[in-house]
Amino acid sequence: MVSEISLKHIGKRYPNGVKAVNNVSVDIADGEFVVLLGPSGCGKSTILMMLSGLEEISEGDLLIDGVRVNEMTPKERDIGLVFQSYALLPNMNVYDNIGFGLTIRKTPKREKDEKIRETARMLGLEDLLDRKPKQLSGGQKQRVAIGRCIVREPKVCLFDEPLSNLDAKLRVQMRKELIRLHKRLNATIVYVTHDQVEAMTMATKIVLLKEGEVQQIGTPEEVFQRPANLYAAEFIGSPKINIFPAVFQDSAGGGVLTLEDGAALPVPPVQAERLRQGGWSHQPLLLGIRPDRISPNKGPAGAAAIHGEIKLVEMMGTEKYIYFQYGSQTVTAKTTEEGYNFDSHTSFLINPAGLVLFSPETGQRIDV
Amino acid sequence: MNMTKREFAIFSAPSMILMVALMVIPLMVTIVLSFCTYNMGEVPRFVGWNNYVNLFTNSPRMWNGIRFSLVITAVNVVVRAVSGTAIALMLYSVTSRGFQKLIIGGALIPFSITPVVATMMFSMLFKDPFGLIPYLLSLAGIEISWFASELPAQALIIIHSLWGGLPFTVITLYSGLLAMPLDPLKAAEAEGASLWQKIRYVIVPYLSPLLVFNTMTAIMAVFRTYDSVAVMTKGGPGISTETIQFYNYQIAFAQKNIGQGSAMAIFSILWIFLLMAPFIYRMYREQLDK
Amino acid sequence: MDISVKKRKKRITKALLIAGLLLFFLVNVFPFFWQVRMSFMYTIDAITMPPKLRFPPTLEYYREVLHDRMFRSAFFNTMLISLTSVLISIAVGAPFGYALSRFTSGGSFGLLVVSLIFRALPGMVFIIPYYYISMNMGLYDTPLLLILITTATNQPFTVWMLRSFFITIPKSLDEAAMVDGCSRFQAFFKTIFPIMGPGVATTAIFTFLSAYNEFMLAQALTSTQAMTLPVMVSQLTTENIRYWSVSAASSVAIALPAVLVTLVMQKYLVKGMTNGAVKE
Repeated sequence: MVSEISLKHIGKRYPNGVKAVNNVSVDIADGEFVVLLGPSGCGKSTILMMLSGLEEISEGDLLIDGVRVNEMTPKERDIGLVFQSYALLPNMNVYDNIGFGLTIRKTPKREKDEKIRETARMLGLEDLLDRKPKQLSGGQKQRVAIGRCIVREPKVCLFDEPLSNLDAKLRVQMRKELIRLHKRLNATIVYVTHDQVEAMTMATKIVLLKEGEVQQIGTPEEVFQRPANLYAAEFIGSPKINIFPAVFQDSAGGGVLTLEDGAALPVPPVQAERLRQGGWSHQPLLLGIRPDRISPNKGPAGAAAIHGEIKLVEMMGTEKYIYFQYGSQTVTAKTTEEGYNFDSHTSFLINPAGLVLFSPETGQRIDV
Repeated sequence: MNMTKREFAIFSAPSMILMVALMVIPLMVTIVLSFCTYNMGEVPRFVGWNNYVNLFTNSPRMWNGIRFSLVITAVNVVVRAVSGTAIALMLYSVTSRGFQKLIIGGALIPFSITPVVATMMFSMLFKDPFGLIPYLLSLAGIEISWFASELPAQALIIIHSLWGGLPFTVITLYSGLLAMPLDPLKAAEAEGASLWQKIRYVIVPYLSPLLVFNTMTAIMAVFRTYDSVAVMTKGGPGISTETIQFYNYQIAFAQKNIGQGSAMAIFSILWIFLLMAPFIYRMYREQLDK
Repeated sequence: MDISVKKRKKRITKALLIAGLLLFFLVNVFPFFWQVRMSFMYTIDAITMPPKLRFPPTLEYYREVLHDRMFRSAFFNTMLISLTSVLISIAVGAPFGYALSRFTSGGSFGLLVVSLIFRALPGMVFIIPYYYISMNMGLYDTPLLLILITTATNQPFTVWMLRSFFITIPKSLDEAAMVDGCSRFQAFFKTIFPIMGPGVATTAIFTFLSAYNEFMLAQALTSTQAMTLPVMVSQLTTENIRYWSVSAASSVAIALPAVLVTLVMQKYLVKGMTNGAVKE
């Protein structure tokens, strides 16, 4: 079933005047796993509800397979919805819960039975078909909710933060299952979450939102390596990206970015030229460096090293996060090396690859 | 720190003593008296099962009372469940809070009005030739003599009991609806359920414990109907509106047949338990599930 | 379906809803309203059909009712019995309800069944023994008798309601007090007692209404001395139309305290109905 979904300038305004969603445009191709990502209140769930038909669309057009569906009911749109709270019907057993949509549509019994059993098998629920929701664990309930969504093979499956109520270990497991399901069913999925790890691991396309507006749309790699603005850079990636105030000093044949304590990072000629053309010569800008690009310096200190006093070392297994004081800010570095202590002064090397620059006024990334 | 048995005993003693002394013991007395004949001024004489045999074989008037009580109960249970749910749903779907409060306020009136006063009100409304209802009906060309014909009189008693009981059901069901989690409803909508399907698959199952509770309350209250009969129709015309409790009262106090009256009282208890049994069982099963 | 057709359907549905609910409202309120109206009318006007829209109002019948000695005595009796009954019910029922909420044992369902059973018993089961025992003991036709019996028969319900309220108060409150060295009683009075107001108020209203409106027991067990208002109502007649307005005024006067209490304490009543029903 080919399904393409287009959101064109979608907006939501509430009767009290609050505008929860503003000018959101996204194209979703068949089979994509699109994640609407953002903090609480950014409008992601509202968009999902507008997609489903449970919320009215105030502005813009929603098209499914080229047809404008703004006025259509959920049933007419042929969507499936998985809730954060699972929303299972407590008086029905697993079998009936999964088959609820089929019962509503008065699907013939045999066909219904086949579909339910196949879905149950796919989700590992075959032995639980007789149980009632109160006899199930959180993870099992979630799978039943997913089963209810996919059994009808709807045009698109909508997920509203389905893993938020599960414990950490279960969440990791369910993430893998969802990825597997997506591949197997080749379903079109729109998934809402505030957890950027979920987005990064599962999505084919991420839509990053802030206060009702789109910040960036791209693949996980794109959003990670070329964040559109400061917000995107800081939201994605764990631990959070380090932002340094810096000045671009250009010189013949290239230039350097000087940091707070005088450390200078060389800038390749091509990029330097672009910066010059963008009018950034001798201008202050913001430099974004991810923790994994900062590592403890083994060799002699050079100009491109920065020095700081280690405040905290977090053990994350083989990886460690080192938090050190650099001038007026705390910088995070990620390393697998051993033997670092508190209160020791160390120098750190910055890997020049993968650095990102932002304009201090607009927060937008400077394209180099 | 759980309560100890001793603490429990002390806290519960006053209440238990009161209830045992003033309810359990009188109940025992009634049971004993049901096996005796007793005339005032004399000592009760034990007569074994006589009174009960009499009830079964010799008392068509009692069976008449049972029958009418059952009819009232059945009508009440069904109407309260169906209309109560419908009205509660209607109330629930209205958006204005102020309007909802108004309707609930109005619904509290039948609940709080002294039943005998309600009886008086109904008498005045329905009585020929000065009641409002007969007048309105006559405008439509309908002549019903509410107090002098059997069926209308019975209907009157039933209407009175519905008037007093339906609002209570509506309020409890409505309160239940207010507490209903919305997600299952939204899920049903997302799955394409129509209004009827939502009512059938989500709302009614959710309300079912409340409905059971209301049905039990209805049975307990309505089977014992006495006030309206005693004041409005006095069992008439003839004995058509006699309820079991009314006849029981007559036997015990008007005819001063205590033994028979006691037996009848015990007998009506059995009926009430019979009617409530399936619902108590249902509640028991729900307890087990938890 | 066309959008405008959909919207029109919605509007019609909403109108029907409101109409239906207003009808419900009307049915509930009208009889009482009619009675109140009649109580202010001269009998001649009251019995005229079609009903008059304008009529000379009068307080004559209320004056008559309120000056009637029998009414006054019945009013006094009813109030005395109801309020005392409420007091004793709560005083005796609260500890029991509290104990039930704290005593963890499998007996809670059994207790529920027992209290239901007692609540279900028809009044005749009690009247017969009460009548004849009280006759012999000289308690017949006294307020005390009615106080005792209404309190006792209302206990199961009262205790049940109070229990369902106490359950909502976390055990940790009184447990903390006991850890600090209080005995169970002290813990109860220090921590629970101050905050049980709302629950007690709710239960009190139900108990009050029960006692106030009690008819059958009162009729059987009183004659002249301890007559209560409901019994008095039953003696008003609708046979003789001369007395219609008087009867109307009496009924209104009798029902008024109950109705007023209900409307004023509306919030508590509804909460009580919710709680009791949902918890069961």
